[in-house]
Amino acid sequence: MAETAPAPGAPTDQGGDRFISVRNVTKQFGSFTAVDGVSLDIGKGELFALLGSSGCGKTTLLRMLAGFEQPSSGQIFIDGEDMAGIAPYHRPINMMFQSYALFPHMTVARNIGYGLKHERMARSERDDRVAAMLDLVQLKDFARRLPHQLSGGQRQRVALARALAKQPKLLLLDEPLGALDKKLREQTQFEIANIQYETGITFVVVTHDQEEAMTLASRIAVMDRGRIRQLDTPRTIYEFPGSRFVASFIGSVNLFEGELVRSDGDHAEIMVPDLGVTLRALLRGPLTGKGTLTCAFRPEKVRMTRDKPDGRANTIKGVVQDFGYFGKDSLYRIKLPTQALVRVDAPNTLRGGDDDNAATWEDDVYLSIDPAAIMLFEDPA
Amino acid sequence: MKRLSPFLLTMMVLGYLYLYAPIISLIVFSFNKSRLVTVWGGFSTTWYFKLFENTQILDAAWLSLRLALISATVATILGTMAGIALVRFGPFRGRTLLSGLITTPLVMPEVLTGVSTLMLFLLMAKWIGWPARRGFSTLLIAHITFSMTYVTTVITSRLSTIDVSIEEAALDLGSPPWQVLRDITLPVISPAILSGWLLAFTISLDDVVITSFTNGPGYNTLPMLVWAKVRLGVTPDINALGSLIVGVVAIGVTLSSIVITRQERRREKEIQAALAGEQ
Repeated sequence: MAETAPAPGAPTDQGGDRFISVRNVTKQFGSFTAVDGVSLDIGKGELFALLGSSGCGKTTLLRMLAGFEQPSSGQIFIDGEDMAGIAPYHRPINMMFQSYALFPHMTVARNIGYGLKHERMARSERDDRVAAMLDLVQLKDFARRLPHQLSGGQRQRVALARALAKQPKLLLLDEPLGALDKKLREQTQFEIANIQYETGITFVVVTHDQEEAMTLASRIAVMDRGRIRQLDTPRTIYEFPGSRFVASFIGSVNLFEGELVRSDGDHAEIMVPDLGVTLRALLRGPLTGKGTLTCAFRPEKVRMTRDKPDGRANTIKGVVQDFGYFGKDSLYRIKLPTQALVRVDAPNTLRGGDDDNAATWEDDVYLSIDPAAIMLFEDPA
Repeated sequence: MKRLSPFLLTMMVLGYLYLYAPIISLIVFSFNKSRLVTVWGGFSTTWYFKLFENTQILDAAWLSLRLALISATVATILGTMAGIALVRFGPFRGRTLLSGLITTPLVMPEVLTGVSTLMLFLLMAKWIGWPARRGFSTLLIAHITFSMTYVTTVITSRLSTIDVSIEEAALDLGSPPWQVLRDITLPVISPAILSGWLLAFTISLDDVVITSFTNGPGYNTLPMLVWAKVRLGVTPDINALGSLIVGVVAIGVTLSSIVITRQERRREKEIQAALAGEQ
């Protein structure tokens, strides 16, 4: 395999002190395997994300951590303690539900204080804790309201405060921003990250939104069909995806199949019929020569010019077929003589547009791709 | 305010007339002096005094009331338990059977339910010696059996619309299952429990068919007594009784709506206060 990545399902011990340890956990519902031999470690105080499309098993894994589901096989340790057979109400874990699950008949203050009635604490202490939580999520003036008298963003914050009130060792967040609109989501992302930093509680976030996972988490596990496909930092997952699946799941990517012509130490030359050229790519690991070889490159890593660049590797000529102006950047679709389409992202760095360089429909352009920007995958499609 | 078109106005009047003319005529004729129900003989309240002298009617009313109160309460407890089991306990063994058995009385003709309950009591009397004679307890058992069906239906339909995750959230926050039931599930479905109880109460109060199969001598409920009396001809004291019942229901409905609107207004004020506090 050309890119370095753990084999799917293999333990990935990068979590430092192994505060949470999931050991070879499988969950079956009848004949359907929701989670398939997952192992991972999460360190104390980490903000960890489980990322995947719906049905990939991420929510099932979260519910097993919370204790709502029992693993069919495998073990889960939290702070060194085996969680097998421990009921949800005895776990040092709290969860923020996707639907928020606020108690509709209780005020905001009673919702937040509900979990505290099981702690041995004086009434005044409990009131203080609720007040502190209301402060933390900036809902002081809403203490006496009922959930249905709140906006979506306010409900989200009540749910967060309620889950944090018991000061759990671990907080689980199921699609925490899923029900919010875009502006609110960006703002709340940073709020959640700040609260995590301030409280030092370990957060595990489940999301299908890669942007959410990238901005929130210190490490991401990309899941697919019950297995972990890659577990790494957001930057590594984006820049050095371990497989064709991860590369195309995170962000957008141009994918072309090719054939190895030759390799000389740290570079390989790959004939790509769809591009009509032989690409020169930087090798990050030895090629096995087995399976289909795929060349991939991100749209923003392609340099597009109207004049033929001198001395650049991997230059391809094409025609602008389509482009969309997004404000901060423009998305181009370049048609090559081979009829293949290449996606290119060009940032708009000059106000009013870079007139010399801004290409428009039917313009001839030259694309050049840095050998280091080309990712090679040998996994079967 | 927008004026209604003549057509809509006519239809509205006809509609109300269709619904309420019988009740209004009942009330009007309860103040009739004449013994003949259909002939107006001048205003009088004598039938109301006669009604309160008639111990037969009063006894029947008291029996019906006791029966309805107890059977509705027991049926509500059992029906709520059955509803929670059906909706929240997942696909346990015998679930389909339970759900089928509970809803059968809804679709079964009442006469059949009545006959089969009677058969059961007769066989039980033969084999285990109880009930030696039919009376309050057999009535109570029969009423609980069929009104529980309605309660269960109301509870299951309400419970299935409630997000399971609020109960999971309570578990997650440290409450064992029985506390979740007490703190979350029951308060949230309390409107359904109340309407289930009212439904059971009403059904028990006016049941004739099953009651006539399962009662014994000396245990005449109010609807049965009315039924028996009407066969001999409608008497004005029955009109007076009917008017009283209509009056009680009307007062009850009015009071409850006043209480509900007051609560809503207070809630509104609290929201206003909270909103004012934000600025």
